[in-house]
Parts: sequence; C-alpha cells; structure tokens
Amino acid sequence: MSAAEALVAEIAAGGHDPPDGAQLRALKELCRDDESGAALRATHDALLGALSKRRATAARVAALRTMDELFRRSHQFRVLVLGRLRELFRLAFGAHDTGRVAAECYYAWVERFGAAYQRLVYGFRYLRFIEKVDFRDAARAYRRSDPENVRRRQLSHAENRREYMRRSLVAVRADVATMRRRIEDSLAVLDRCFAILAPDIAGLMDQFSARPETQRRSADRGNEDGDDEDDLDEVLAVMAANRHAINIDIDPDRILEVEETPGNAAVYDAIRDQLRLCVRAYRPRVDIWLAKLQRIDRDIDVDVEQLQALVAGLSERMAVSAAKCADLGVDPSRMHRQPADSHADASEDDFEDVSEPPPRQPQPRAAVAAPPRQHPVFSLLGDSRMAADPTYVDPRRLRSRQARPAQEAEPDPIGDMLRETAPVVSYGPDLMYWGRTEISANTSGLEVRHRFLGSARDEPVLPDAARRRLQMRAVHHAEPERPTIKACRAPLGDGRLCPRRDMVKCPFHGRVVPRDEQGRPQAGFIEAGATEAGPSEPEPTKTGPSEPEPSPPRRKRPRTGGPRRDGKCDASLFKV
Amino acid sequence: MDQAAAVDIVRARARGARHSLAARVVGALALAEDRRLARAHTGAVCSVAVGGAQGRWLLSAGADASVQLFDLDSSGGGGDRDGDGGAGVRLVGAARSVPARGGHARIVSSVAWYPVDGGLFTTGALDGTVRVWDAATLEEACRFDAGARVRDQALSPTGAHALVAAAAESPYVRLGDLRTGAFAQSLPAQQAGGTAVAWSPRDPYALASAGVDGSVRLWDVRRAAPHLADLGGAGPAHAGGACGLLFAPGGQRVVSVGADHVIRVWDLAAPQSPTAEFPGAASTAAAGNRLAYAPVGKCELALAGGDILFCPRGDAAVAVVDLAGGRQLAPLDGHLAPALCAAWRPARQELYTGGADSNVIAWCAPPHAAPSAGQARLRADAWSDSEPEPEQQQQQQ
Repeated sequence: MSAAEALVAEIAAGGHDPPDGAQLRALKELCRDDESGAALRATHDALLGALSKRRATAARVAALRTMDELFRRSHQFRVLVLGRLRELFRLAFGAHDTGRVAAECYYAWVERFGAAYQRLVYGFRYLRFIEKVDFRDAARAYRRSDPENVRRRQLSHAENRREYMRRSLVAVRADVATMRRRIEDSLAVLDRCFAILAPDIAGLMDQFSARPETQRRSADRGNEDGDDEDDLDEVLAVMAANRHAINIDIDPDRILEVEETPGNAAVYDAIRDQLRLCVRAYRPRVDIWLAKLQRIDRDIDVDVEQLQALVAGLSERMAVSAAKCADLGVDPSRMHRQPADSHADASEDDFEDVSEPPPRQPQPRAAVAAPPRQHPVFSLLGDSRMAADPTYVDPRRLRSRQARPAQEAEPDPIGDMLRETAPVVSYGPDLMYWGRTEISANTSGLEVRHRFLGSARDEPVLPDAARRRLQMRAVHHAEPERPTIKACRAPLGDGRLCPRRDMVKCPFHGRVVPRDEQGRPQAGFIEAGATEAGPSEPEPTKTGPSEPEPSPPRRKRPRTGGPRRDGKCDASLFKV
Repeated sequence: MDQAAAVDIVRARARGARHSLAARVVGALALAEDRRLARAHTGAVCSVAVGGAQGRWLLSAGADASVQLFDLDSSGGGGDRDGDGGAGVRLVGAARSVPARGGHARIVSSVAWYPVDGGLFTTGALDGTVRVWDAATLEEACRFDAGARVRDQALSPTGAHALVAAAAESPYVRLGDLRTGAFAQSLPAQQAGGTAVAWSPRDPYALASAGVDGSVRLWDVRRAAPHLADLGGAGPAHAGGACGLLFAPGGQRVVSVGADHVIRVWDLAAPQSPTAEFPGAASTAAAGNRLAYAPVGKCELALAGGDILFCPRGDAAVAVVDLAGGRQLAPLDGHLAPALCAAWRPARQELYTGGADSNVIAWCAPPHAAPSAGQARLRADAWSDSEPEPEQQQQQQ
C-alpha cells in the first residue's frame, strides 16, 4: 500500500468533516511533490474506492471533502476526476447520504472551473436536468461562503454604510439650515414672554439692596460738604431712609404665582402658540436630527461635532422653555383659536378669525313644476307627445288595455259596416304621412348649411316626388339562393388553369376543390382526408392486395386528357 | 472501358486523398474547450442536424419537446448562468428556439434540414406529427398528421422532389409531399414499426427503411413492387432491432447499426450480406438490457469525408470507424449518458454529438481544442506552498 493510499485510508477512517488538517496537509504535500503524478493517480483511485464503500457515510463524506480539496489544487487531479466522472456521479449522487455534500462540492467546482473545463459544465447539466439533482442549496452555500464573495460583500457593505452616512449628514445639514432660524425665533419669543410674565428679580434684589448703601454713602458725603443742595438731598435721604422701612422679602427661588388674567391673555396666547409649535413641530425634528447625527461616524466630516452641539443646544433650550411654560401653568390644550394644521408655519398665525356666517334658513321654494323624471334608456317613454305618433305604442297603456276586459262599445252600425269592408293594413311609416300635402324636411329646427346644397334657413318642404315615395310601401322579396359556381382551376399541361365551371365534378380533373393561384389544392381540402397526387406525380404506385389499412383509392391511369373511355364514372369521386 | 477505368482511378485517388486528410483530422478530434453550446435542453437530445450554407446552423431536437437553432459561427451568446465567456470560452448562443409550448407536444424525435437551402426544416415527434418549419421565423408552415408516433423522418438530399419519408410506430412508412401538403403514399414497411429512414444521395427515388424487427428494406417509391431488396437476405439485418441508417455519399453503400451495437456496411449491389461488420464495445452488454438508444430507440450516424463513420453508442462514447481502412479508431468519450446522435460539419471539420445527458458536445481538431489564456490561468495548479498559509486558511474556515 503506497503512502497516498495509506493517507487516504486514514482520512476516510477518521471520518471528520472537514477532514483532519494535518493528514490533509500531508496528502497535499505528497501529491505536490510527486512529479510523475503517480501519487495523484493512486490518491484518486483510493478516494473512489473509499467512496464506493457502503454504509460508511462519514468515510465517504471525508473522501468527498478530500477530493474537493485536491480538485481545487491540482490540474492533473482535475483531469483524472473528469476522466471518470460518470463513476463519481454514480457513487456520490447515487446515495442519499452524500448527495448534499456532493452537490455543494460539485457546484463550487463548476462555478470556479467551469469556464476552463467544459466537461464539468456538461456534467452539471446532466445532473441538473436528467438526474434532477437540486443545486439550490449548494448555490446558496456557495454564494455565502466563497471568500471572494464574502470579501466583496463586506466591502460593499462598508462602502454602502459610509455612503449612507454621508447622505444623511447632507440631509441633516440642509434641514437644520432651513429650520434653525424659525426655531430660534420661536425660542426668542418665548423668552420675551417669560421675561414679561416673570421678570428676573434676582437683579432687582441686588438693585434694591444696593440702593440704600449708595444713598447712605452719598448722605455721608453730603454731611461733610455742607452745601445747600446737598443739605436738601441729605434731608430727603434721611427722611426717606427713616420714614419708610418696609421689608420686602422676595425670594427669587420661590416661584412666582402668575396666573392668566384678561390683562396678560395676549402674552399667554403668544406663549401657547409658540409652545404648540415647539412641541408638535420643532421638538420631533430636533430629536430626529440628534438621532441621525449620533449615528454618523465622526470621521465622515469635520463639522459633525459642531452640528451636533448646535442641535443639542436647541433641544436643551426648548426643554427649558417647556419647563418654564409648565411652571407658569400654561395649558396648551386650552386654546382660544383652533388652528387647522399644527405643523403650519408661523405665518399662518397672522390670519384673523373669520366669524362663521349665520346658518342658512331653508328658503321656501317657488312652486316650479319639476321636469318629469326621464327613463335612463328610453328617453321618450312616457312622453306625452308620443301619443300623437300612431306608430308608437306605449307599453304601459298597452298593458293596462290588455288587462282591462274588452269594453262594450256603443253600437255603431255604420262603423261596423265600414270595418267589415275595410282592408286590414298593418301600421307602417307610410300611414304616418298618408294624405299629407306638405312635409317639412328639416324638423330639427336647426339651421342646416350644406356646402353645395345650400342652407335650410326657411322651412324646407319635401318635394312632391319624395312625398309620394314616403307614402309608398316597399315589399322586399328575397332573392333565391344561387350557388356560386367556381371554376375547376386545375393546372393544365400548358400552364393555364382549367376554366371549366361545373357544379360538382369536372370530367377531366375530378371533384372541383378550392385551389390557389398555382392550382394546388388548399389546406381545407387536405384536412378533409382525401389525397390527390396531382399532375406532378408521373406514375402513382398500386399497393399490394394484402393491405389492411383503408388507403384512398388508387388510380389506374393518370388523369390527363379526357374522361374515362368506358363511359362509366368513378363513384368515389362523387363522395362529397 | 478505359475511360470508365480512368474515372474510377481518379475517383479512388481523390477518395484516398480526402480519406487521409479526414483520418488525420478525425484521429485528433477532441472535446472542444473553447466553445460550448449555450442553452441546454432539459431532456435527452434526440437529434442534431447541421445545415445551411457552410453548415452554419445547427438544429437540435430534445426530449423536452423543444427544438433549438444555433448559429455556429456566432461569437458569444447571451449570458449563460453556468459559465462565463470571460475566460475565453465562446458560448454558442441559441439563435432561436421553439419552446415546448409553441411546437410539438411530445419528444421531438428527429429534425432534418431541407437539403436545397437552409430556409426550412422538418421535425418529427412522438405526438404523431411531422411539421415543416420556416427557419427564418421558426414558425410552423405545414403539418402532416401521421397518426402514430413518428420516430424518424428524412428529406431526399438530391432535392429532386419534396417528399418527406416518415417512419412511425405503424406498419407504414408514409411519404408526405411538401408541395401539396398531404401524404402522397404509404409504403408497407415493417410490421412492428419503423425506426429509421434514409434517402439515397444519388437516386432521388431510392429509400431505405429500418424497423424494430431488425429488417432494413430498400424501396423505389415509384414502383409498384413492394420493395426492392431486403438487406441481410433471409434473416433480419440486426437482431433485436435496427436503430440507425445512413447512406454513404456514393449512394452505393448503406451503413446500419442495430440494438446489438454492431455496425454493418452493406453494398447495394449485393444486399444479402454485409461487406463489413464492426462489433460494438465490450460493455454494451449492460447497455443492451435497457432499451437501446432510449427514449426514441434510434440513433443518428454521421459520416465525415465519406469514409469515417461516427456512431453514437449506448455506453456514452461515440465510436469512430474508418470504413475504408476497416478499423475502429479511438472512441470519443465525453457524454455522461448514452450518446444518441451525431452530425458532421465539413466546412470546419467539427463534430456535434447529442446524448441522453441533455448535452450537445462539440468536437474539433487540436488547434481549436487548446485552452485559451484565461482558461490556462484557471487551470493552473494552486498548491499552497508555505507552511503558515494552510493555518491561515484553517482559521478562515
């Protein structure tokens, strides 16, 4: 047993999937170092032998994996494998246990080496279409695991991510640029309102506490000087200082109780509007910007940090303003005005309220005769003018007339006599115009202008001849059916087509059948099942007597020239 | 006499010259690595035919009821999923194809070009119809309903008449006339059904038909007599059924192959016994158990230069027989399932064979069969030479 066979036996016996790394490496080195290729041949034979062992799934899978490894490495091995491809298919794909592994390996081979070895592709097609091996899982596994694919996918993934971040940054920057002014204006308005409602008293306190000191100091200075003006000031100051000793304890930490009064309703309204805007429109946007900016890597652009700081500042200011509004007891739900769209721009607040018009009273309508309801399809149904048309029978009246039993009419002898002798003529349009001397031609009332016949401005009257024609009745008699007789059109010897027009059968050419310009019988004739050799066939053969199939009757003589000499006719030709 | 003898000598010399060239080329035929027919059939390929000017077009008919038309001179077909053209592989794209829905309803058993020009071709299928197609638009021009499963159909290579001979599973070989669009004649051939028909290339009215009962018959379609001759004399030409028929270009010899995989050459002057016999491969015993040349039961032979015969075999090889020298050359091994049909393209000295593995394989002489630069790159050995590398790869794994 050669070294190669021993190694293969070891790998197969080990049965690992993937096979043991050291053994595999040893085998590869052995095959690589052997110049003559004997090692490869022995390995190949041994691997096929390992595959052919039954009931040794692990060994066979190990053998397949080894084969896969060597296949990727060596051209010589590939040639060997391709030389015994059928056997490999039978061994690897014939059994169910190795089918999946074999499909994976083979698919990878085809993907990598299919362009260089056509036999691989042929084998792939055979497996796919004839043996119906399912390569979908193998294809998926290949796409996922092929290192080039993986690297490519990772690269593209990273690239996509960076591209996305760049685009996101651009979008956020644009957004911030458009909205920033508005947000800051809003916040400024809010700040001013807060200043009105709750002024900053810390400064005031200092002012209050600082003021007596300065006054005392100035008073001391005044005593030293002894001027008259200063005396007055001094006196006043002393009076002021002694007279009013009011202790005002204003605790700046204590929240001022400001409440909404009709006096500061305007301020409160302003606050409410701005608060609504901030809460509904600006706050979410700012949150989104913050979230997007957080997700962007710092190395995409330099001013990501700056932008983020800006947006964070805006967010903080809005939060502070919202807190102040809550402290002031601003109730955003209580609004004097109901805005239509809370996401509207600030310019919409410039609109003034329009008081609603008083609700309309239902006016008593003038009694106008409503036009009668028309039938959607039969527009003249029920029209009163149709009663004048004798050719029109109102179906409703007809039904009621039919429903009513025949009424007893008063005896009318003359009428009865006349009716007995009168001819019964059914209604027709001529009865409409019977006895009329003048019939108007243009009943539409529109002025009709014709290019050549002139205009119909004055009421045109039908000419006498036309009027008389109107009073006539035309009785149409159907023409008797005449069968069209087609020409025979069979090709004659001198190039013409037979011009005879017989009803059924031309005496020279048999049944008259539809033919084309060259005299060939048409398709409809063929499907009827009859066969005609045609004059191009010089001598049709006669079949033997022992013929079970009812073939079409054969001709004894070619049909050129005249009819049959014995005067009889072939009955089969008359079968239509 | 002298003139006839001189003509014979000249003919023999010409044949000899052609023969040696053909033998040299054929001896070196190998699986073409630089090209591959792009679209595959999804079933066995039952018939291939080369036609058109310079044999430019290849028709292949498959068990998936489709017919595909290839432009053999085209460079680069559409993108093929299981291969890339970038490595220097020329994908011969299918110029057109008649899909299963539009054409036949069953396995298309044979396809043949109109010998006069590449304008139309005929197909026969197991749905009982012989259809005539316009090759430019791939639309059906005419249809003959034979009533039984058509195994083979052929047009006369002389072009003197437009009769299509159809061998079906009925006892008759039916001749349809393309000019009238109707069957003109029925020949009472083998009782059990015919498998192959072939027209003589010299005599416009001579036809040979092979049957399931193994007999091969010669007909003159004009005559009243049942048939001219039975090849093989008293017994059947092939035991177990005759599967393939071919006329040699001279019109004097007929080659037939049977289910016993024996190739027999007959001279029409002496039809009683074959002039040469080439036994099949040793492993045909296994193949002979199953239906020979399934799914249709016939095989198509091809001749190169009048003397080299390619006979597809049931053991997935294509036998190459030198008829003049009387010996078998090395078989062509490429198919993975029984090979079914072969067609030779004389203009480029290429062979196209189709088999039950749904492949149409192109074979050509060495200058074209060598791998291109891209392919050589792919074929290079890729041993991992240094020690640390395998460990890196293991870590990657």
